[in-house]
Amino acid sequence: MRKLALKDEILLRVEKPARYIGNEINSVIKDTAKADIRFAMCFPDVYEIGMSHLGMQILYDMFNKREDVYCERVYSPWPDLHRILKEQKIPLFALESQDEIRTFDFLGITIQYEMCYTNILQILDLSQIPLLAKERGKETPFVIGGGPCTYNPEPLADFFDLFYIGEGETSYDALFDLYKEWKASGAERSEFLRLAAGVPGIYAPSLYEASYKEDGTLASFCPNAEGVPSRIEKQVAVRLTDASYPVKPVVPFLKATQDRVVLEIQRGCIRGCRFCQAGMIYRPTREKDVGVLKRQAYELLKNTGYEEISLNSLSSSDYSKLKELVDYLIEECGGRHVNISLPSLRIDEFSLDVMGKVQDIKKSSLTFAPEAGSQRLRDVINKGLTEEVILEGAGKAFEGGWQKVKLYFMLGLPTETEADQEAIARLANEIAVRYYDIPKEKRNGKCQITISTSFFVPKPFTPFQWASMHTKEHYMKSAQTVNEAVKNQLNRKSIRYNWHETDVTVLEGVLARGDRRLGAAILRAYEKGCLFDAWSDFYDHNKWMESFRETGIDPDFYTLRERDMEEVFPWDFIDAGVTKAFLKKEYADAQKGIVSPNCRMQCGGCGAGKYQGGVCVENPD
Amino acid sequence: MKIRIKFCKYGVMKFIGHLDMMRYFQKCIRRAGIDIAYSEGFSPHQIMSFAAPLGVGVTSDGEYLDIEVYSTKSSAQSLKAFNETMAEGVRVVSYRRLKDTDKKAMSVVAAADYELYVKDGYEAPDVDYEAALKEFYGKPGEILITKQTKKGERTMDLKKLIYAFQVRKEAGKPVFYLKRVNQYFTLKSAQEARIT
Repeated sequence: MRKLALKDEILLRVEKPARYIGNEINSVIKDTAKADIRFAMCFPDVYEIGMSHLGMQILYDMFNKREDVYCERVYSPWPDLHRILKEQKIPLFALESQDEIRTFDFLGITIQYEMCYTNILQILDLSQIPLLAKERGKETPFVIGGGPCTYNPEPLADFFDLFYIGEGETSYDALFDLYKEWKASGAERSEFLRLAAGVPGIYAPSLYEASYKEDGTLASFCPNAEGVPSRIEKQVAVRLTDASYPVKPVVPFLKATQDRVVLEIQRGCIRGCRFCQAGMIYRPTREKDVGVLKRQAYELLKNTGYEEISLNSLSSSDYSKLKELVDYLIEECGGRHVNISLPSLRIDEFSLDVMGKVQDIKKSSLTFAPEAGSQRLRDVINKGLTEEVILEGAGKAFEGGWQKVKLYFMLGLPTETEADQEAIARLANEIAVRYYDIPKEKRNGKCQITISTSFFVPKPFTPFQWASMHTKEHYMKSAQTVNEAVKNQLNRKSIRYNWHETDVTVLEGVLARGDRRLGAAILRAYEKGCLFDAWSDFYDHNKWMESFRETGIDPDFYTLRERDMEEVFPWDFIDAGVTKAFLKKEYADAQKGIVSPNCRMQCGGCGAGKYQGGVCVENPD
Repeated sequence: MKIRIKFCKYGVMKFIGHLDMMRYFQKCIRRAGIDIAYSEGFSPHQIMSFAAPLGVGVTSDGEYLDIEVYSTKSSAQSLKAFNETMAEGVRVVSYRRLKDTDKKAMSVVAAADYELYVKDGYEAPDVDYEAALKEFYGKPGEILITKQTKKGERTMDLKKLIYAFQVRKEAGKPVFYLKRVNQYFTLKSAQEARIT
């Protein structure tokens, strides 16, 4: 019978013990004695969230296809178990073997959002791995980070031995082979870092030195050892169709946030919205072959037993064979009670038709993400969605029986004025007007329009990486402006308005474009008890601000400063495909309100063409 | 047609709660290719009902679950299909067709046998357990507990739920045996119970 790391007494005392026992369908059990490399793969948030993450399932499956690697999973223990593990000094363990992580060869952590940084320290702390990379000995696992936040890994530089920049499908094999050689050679820990730094996409932060100018900005950033590359190339799975894909994903017992199978249909996005980091770093846009997708969809459903399949991409409507794929799924799965979920879909006749077939219209709501209220500001951010298109889509939806519409916007975008903020409320009102244009006998009572706003945080490798953020007071005032404007609309009773918290935005802004000096503050915040910062119940803004003060960091330096166009950024050493020249041109166009065509209409020369893949080499016949 | 499934739950699966077990079986049924029937209406769901929920932390040799199917393979084939897709700690031991007139499992399970062991690594005090049991349980009167429910507090007489209560010794430690009746079959009075 399976052994567990935790005694029954502990498991029966904590909320949801199923988070910690492993044993799920399709989880991989191997003979630990036969694995040359033990890899603990971590999503630093609670189990139900981490289990919903596709990237981790992809790598878990891919690593375990290698006979010499045993990859297992680990998630953040909830605060109740955290306390027990600390009090009783029980080392954190991996779910499959329940073995202590500190005995593994690698601890890989996927870094999906800035607000999980203290959770990363929790994982290290509970694993009894020294928090600072420089204090780790030869027997300690190598801690390697991946995921979107590694496009600026610098705030976390102190805590990681290595970062993997880009898509995991390409370079891990080389890294594993190198590790085996190093292990057999008996060389020092530092020697492996030096060797790994030669693998494409691998960044070893301890081998680089940063120096700063008097004004606090970077003066230089370069390798401190010979043979270490000065630029790190992001990794791209150029032929996505051929890349490894998990058709037997792990099925949790607990209801995960994404309680469905996920089929990735394409990677990247042709749209080029100027605020969107994913749209820049996943270039070029690559479609998967529709025949392969059909086969994978069938396998996924058969191997998991899920009743829902979600087609995953940044912009599903841009997938050229979407209709063929959806028709197949409806044909193949409709009779077997399988729901199809299509996030990130443009609202048009086709999508409404599809949704009408696969969803319960009465319950479901339609989501639009205009991101900005006025056409002027939508042009600034290059969101190619016009009011006309929104109203037409909403109108068709209302006539098709929908009553609920969700609208997503951002506040605090570059060049935004009060007029842009008020335009959010006016747009919502126009949509309501469109609903009430339908004759009374043909509609079903009132419509429900929900506006949600978040505050914009500029991210590295976007045209807005130079932009300034705003003060907390400014954010609160802008939300207030929208709220007032909603109240002044004729159809105010059909409109609801929610806005995000402001404190978290400021912190996210500091961490997103921070440098390695922030490491001290992150460490201090964790020591003060900051954990699960992404959860508003747990987020403690005062502790974070104290941590910045005590470590001599001025958050405003990172958020309230329009960066000079020639400034050296902490992430400039990464080659993400898109060039700085392209981003600069896009930023300049943004300020003039000039929109850029999408990748299919016309190549913008962003730099991703050098990968020779996807939309960059597509032959439009 | 109706099918009754009997399964065991043991090992680490005792930490999976009742609702998660239901979701687990829904997926097993699809993986095993059981031709389960779905309810009518806008959000159809599998027609499935468990005899009784099993508490977290408790293992079981016999849990019952009724499903409705459009068609079925033989019991042996279905058993095999199920057990090929089970997590360690759940095993389907019986798959039987019911008559259409048969009642649901939840209304025919009259009682459950429980055995309580002292865990490994723990010592039990050295007392005369039979005498202690008679002293505790044999006395006339009620054993009242207060149960916290969603609707507030509820007082229950445990004696009315216990049909039999025995103790024996295994390897020097007491093992308690308890026959607990289903709430639909609650005893009229404690006098009917057997204590040994």
